Amino acid sequence: MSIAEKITDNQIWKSVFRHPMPTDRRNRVVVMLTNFFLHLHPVSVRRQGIALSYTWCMGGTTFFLFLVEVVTGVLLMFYYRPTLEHAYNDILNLRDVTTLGILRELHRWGAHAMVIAVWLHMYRVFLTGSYKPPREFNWVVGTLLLVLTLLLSFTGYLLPWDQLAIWAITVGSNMARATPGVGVEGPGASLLVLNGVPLVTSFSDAKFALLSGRSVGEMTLNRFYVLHCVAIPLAVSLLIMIHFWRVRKDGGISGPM
Amino acid sequence: MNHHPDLTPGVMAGLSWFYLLAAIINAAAAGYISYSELVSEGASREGLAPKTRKMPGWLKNSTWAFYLFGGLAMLVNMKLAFWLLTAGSVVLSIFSAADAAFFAEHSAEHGDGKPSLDDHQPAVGLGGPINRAIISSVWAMCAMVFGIMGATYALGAEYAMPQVFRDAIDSASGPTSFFTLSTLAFIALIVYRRFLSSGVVAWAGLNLSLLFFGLSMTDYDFRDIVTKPDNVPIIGLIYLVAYFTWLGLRRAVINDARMARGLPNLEELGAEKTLTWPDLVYTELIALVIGTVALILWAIALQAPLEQPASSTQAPNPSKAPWYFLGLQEMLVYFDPWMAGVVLPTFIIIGFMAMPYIDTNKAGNGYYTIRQRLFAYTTFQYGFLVLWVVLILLGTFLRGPNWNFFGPYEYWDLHKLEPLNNVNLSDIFWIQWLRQSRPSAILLREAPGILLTVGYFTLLPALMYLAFFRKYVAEAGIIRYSVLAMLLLFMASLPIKMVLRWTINLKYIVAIPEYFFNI
Repeated sequence: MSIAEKITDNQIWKSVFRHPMPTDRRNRVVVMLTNFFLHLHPVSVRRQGIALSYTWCMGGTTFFLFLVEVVTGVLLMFYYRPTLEHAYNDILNLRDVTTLGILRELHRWGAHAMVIAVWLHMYRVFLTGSYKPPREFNWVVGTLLLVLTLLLSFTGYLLPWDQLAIWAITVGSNMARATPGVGVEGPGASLLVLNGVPLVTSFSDAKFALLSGRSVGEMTLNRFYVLHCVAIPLAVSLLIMIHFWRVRKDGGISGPM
Repeated sequence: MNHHPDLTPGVMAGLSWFYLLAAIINAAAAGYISYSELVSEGASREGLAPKTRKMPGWLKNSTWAFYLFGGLAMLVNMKLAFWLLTAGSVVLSIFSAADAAFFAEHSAEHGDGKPSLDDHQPAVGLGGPINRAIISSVWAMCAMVFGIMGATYALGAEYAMPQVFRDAIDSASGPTSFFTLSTLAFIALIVYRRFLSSGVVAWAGLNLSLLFFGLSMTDYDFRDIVTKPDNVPIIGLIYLVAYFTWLGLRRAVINDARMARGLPNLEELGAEKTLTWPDLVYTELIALVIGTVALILWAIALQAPLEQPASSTQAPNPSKAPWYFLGLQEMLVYFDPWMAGVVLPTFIIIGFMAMPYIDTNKAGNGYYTIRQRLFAYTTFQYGFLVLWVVLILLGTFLRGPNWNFFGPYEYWDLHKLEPLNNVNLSDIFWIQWLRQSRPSAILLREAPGILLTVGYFTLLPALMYLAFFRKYVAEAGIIRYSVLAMLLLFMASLPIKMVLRWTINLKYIVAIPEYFFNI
């Protein structure tokens, strides 16, 4: 009995992996049907549909980077406290003190790469006309994922609490002040007056809702932290599940119809 | 003026390695063109005589030896490693090119004239076969030039880009020329796509961009901005977008030529099914490993930026949004925040979602093509490449303090003054044309601009319908057309506003600052 057989020829192993190594046709089929992680895929695919020169591998890269962000993000949460007192110093410590101190680098560069990968994925889907029927709705889901990716990156930008962070968020969130109707400097907001009291003020407008204050402060840090670590990732996870499910249901990897 | 030196020992060492890498990839290209079987997309190798040219064993072994020992030497002595790798590239490029020339001469004298696997079979639509002897020597020469430039820096010669060039480029660059040239380049990309999709042209373009980048890095101000940690991904973005644009263009050109000749397109060629395990699963595993290694190397090589602790009183100048929003921030030059920051981004998102419902063209589903969907293709690409990526590059690299424009080699002077003499349409209409003061009633004062804007969004769709979209409306209906027209007009509003700013210094078409309503 070889060592490989000793490892695989017992009840424990066989309870986890129901089949022998997928080396013959039958087992290559059943492994796709019985393995939780593999069952995302169909049993067989069109050969051109998985050619790199066709797909550019950018959708998968985006998903890979999302997983990297989740793992490194959870690890970063062990070290980071989103308060004015601690935020900046925790980041300093991550860089200077923590063992294997490239966690933040992995997280930040992964985030930049994810933004680029999403763009390139959408670019490919457009260039091959793969958003056309029957995949219209999945393109809409993908657009929402693009927006959420940008929002994830944007909310994360504030957390190091350095000059780069707060001023980038200040510049970005100043736009909310100009939202028509609900921003204090937006068109139409000054017309919304009830009994002589303006409804939209700098204490009640869209920017205030975004920042939880009139300018970027501790409550903003808390709000962005929760959005960044909990709310948006949950939404993204749900949409990713729908996105993958619909890829399968709408005819698999795209190809000539 | 800045008082920093253009060249430091660290920069020169970096440049020598940069040029060495450029030399290595060109030596590899020379070897590839000289010895490899060049199979183009969709080309059939069936019925061809077998291949006779092979890389000689001594050349293969010596190249590998130089590169292997060069790589190992990096652990002990970087100088030694540099010269070993340079020598390897010289050997590889010289003998590859010489061999290609020798082979061409030999087969011209002794060959039987029949096509063999040695002949380059170009993809359908991409013209004739390339001349391996010539192209191999060209890339070998590029390898030599880059190798010599690298060696020059390694030997300590302080060569920086001549100031005359830098001043010329700085003075020629501005938002106007930058954006106009980008638009012209985009038109050329579509019009000359057959020429541009050749691999030789693309490689030449890559070499030119490397040369430009290497020369530019000798300038302190250029280097200062490009090497900011958060700007490094944008350099990657440039090369990735350029590469994938080229790849998509090439596949579309080949497909269009194939379909014009009644051949199946490249995607139809591979329609047969293959098992997911192992074909797709292993590809994913390899991609996972490459992605992980690349990300870890990037994280080790480049530290994430961390500036001074946040201070709500000391605003940096320039204050910039994260890089992916800099296209929107650049739009603030031409629009008020409610347009640039809220309305137009909303329309971008709505436009994306509406796309599959307003594009009723059934052709081009699942394969690359330009000819079958020219309008959709060029509109989207113009939006993505020029109105999004180019504006991000402009906002990142060329906008400095007070959002003033700075040339790529220009010092970001806090005190640079740009005269602002922009005027509103109401000024032009009432004061310049009618030579009277502006009326005090807001609606009357702004009547010309309001009429113009209303006409833009109502009359223009009607005219566009009569001129171009009759067939589309008949097929897709009036609702789809209205959405399409609105999206097109909102998209076009940015270049229109730009041109109006550059030509007649127009600030606002409608200016009602009393209600923050400026267009």
